[in-house]
Amino acid sequence: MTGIEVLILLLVLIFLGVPVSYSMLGVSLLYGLVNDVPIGSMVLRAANSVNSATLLAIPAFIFASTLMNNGGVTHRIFEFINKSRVGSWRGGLAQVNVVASLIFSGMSGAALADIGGLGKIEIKAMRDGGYRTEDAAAVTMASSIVGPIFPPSIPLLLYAVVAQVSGLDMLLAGIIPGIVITLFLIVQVAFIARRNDWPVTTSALTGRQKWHALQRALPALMMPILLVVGLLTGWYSPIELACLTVAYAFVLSAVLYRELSLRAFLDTVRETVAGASGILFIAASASLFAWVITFEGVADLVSDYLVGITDNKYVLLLIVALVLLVWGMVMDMLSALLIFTPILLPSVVALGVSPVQFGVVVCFTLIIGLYTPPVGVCLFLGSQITGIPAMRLFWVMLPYYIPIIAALAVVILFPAVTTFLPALILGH
Amino acid sequence: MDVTQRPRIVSAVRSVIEAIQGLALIGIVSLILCSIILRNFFNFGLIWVFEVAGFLMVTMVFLGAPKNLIDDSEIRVNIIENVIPKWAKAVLKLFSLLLILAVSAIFAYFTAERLIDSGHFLSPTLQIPHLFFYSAVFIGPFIAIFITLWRLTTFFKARAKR
Repeated sequence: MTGIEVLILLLVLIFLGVPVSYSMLGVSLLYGLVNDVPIGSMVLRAANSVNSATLLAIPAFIFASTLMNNGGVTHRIFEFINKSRVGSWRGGLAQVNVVASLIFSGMSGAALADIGGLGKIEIKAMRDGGYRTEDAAAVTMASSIVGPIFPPSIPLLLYAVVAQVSGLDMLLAGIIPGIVITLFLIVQVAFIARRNDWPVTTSALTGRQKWHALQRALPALMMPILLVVGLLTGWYSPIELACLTVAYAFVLSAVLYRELSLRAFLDTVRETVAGASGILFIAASASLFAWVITFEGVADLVSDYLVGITDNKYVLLLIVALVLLVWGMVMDMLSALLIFTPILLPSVVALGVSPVQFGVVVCFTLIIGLYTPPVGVCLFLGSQITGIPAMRLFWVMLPYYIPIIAALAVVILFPAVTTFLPALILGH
Repeated sequence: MDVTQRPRIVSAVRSVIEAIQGLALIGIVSLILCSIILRNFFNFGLIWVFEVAGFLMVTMVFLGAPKNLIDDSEIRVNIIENVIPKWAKAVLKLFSLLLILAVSAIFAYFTAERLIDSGHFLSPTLQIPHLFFYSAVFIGPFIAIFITLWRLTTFFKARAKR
């Protein structure tokens, strides 16, 4: 059984609706049985793959973001940004939505957490402020794309494990792209607000009231700042930062805001383990599949083929981004990330692309698939929250793909956007 | 899957797994926080923290597999499933369950074989035998076999009713 046969069989199983983790385990074990590879070693390889310091950070970051959603932290962040607006802006609430998402993404690491937690509050506030529900949902979904890019980013941590890159490098690499996406979205929202004549909203608060609002929200606003400072100083590893974030979120929710009851805490733990164990079981299965693919030299074959097409690293990155964009539309993002990273990484590294830059490009491209039919989970969650059909939501969201694709182009064409901070802080 | 349709034993297994997973998660976070506090304020390092955290992580992930099967919450691509007739959907579901059964059985069998062979090896710092350290890697898929058999039975019963 060759590596290419394993890859084709895997894709067939996935598209037949077999759970992604069992598809990967199934083809890898079948490969082992047919090719006389010791299966005992293979299963322990899968088990050992989750015994990794970088992967340990994932459940902790999910725990922190769920705590913040259930413990009133998210709500306070939006309330503060909403109340403290300066001046009269057309589409001001939509801009609040974008900025709040950047701040929340500095704590959550997942787009779904943003839409499911902060998104509900944002959509309701925009609806009450005179916006159409579909416009509110489209802005909310577009801005939530920052979540999985800006640290703490779960996809970037998973990439770090598969590509054997430092998790800290990957988290640092996501900071500037996250800010670039936000800035581009702010410009696009301003343009759409003027074109569609969105409501002009002004803050009804006096300076003193704004100061009180800041005092109320300051502890919650400190969280992303502490996290980014922790990353930038390099004092803590990703797992340590994740656990400190959990502790901080717990103190805020349970002690300071007193919104986290014992029942809410237990629900938070339940929600966290359900989400984390699903993702990590896929990661364990993917490690086995990645080993088979590497052992069979599939990555070398793909590398030879791609390097034969072009020797320009930017053209290659664009080709890879286009291919992944299409795959991301039909395949679950984490699965695609774990399957294609070991296959494509050697090709781009051979042409001098930094694995760190490639990681951000891969994650960013696949994340766009979360917002496109037919399998865009964020699109469906937005549809579920608002009751608007997913396809209608997709059409309303189309103009927001322009800044998102522009930000992706910046990440591809300017490697320093991703490599500058890791080089500056860690000297890599 | 409808909770009310679950037999008591399945619900009990699910609750036990969920409790162990929850304790593992809280354990990981607490241990690492302790190590940060001890390192920064008392200049004292706990070298075994990451070993125990790794053990808890392996336990949380591999025990999660049967729980996700009970909840029918595994990540799947249902792009084809959405456009095919009902009978074809049923065939794919049956195929999927049989494959999960086979994978779980192979995984559990070879993990058991491996642990019997080399379970006496010890972990580096706490000297925990591998038999204990990797026990969840066997227990998870082993439970998954029974959960899949239950789901197969439920599947056939539902077909027979129709």
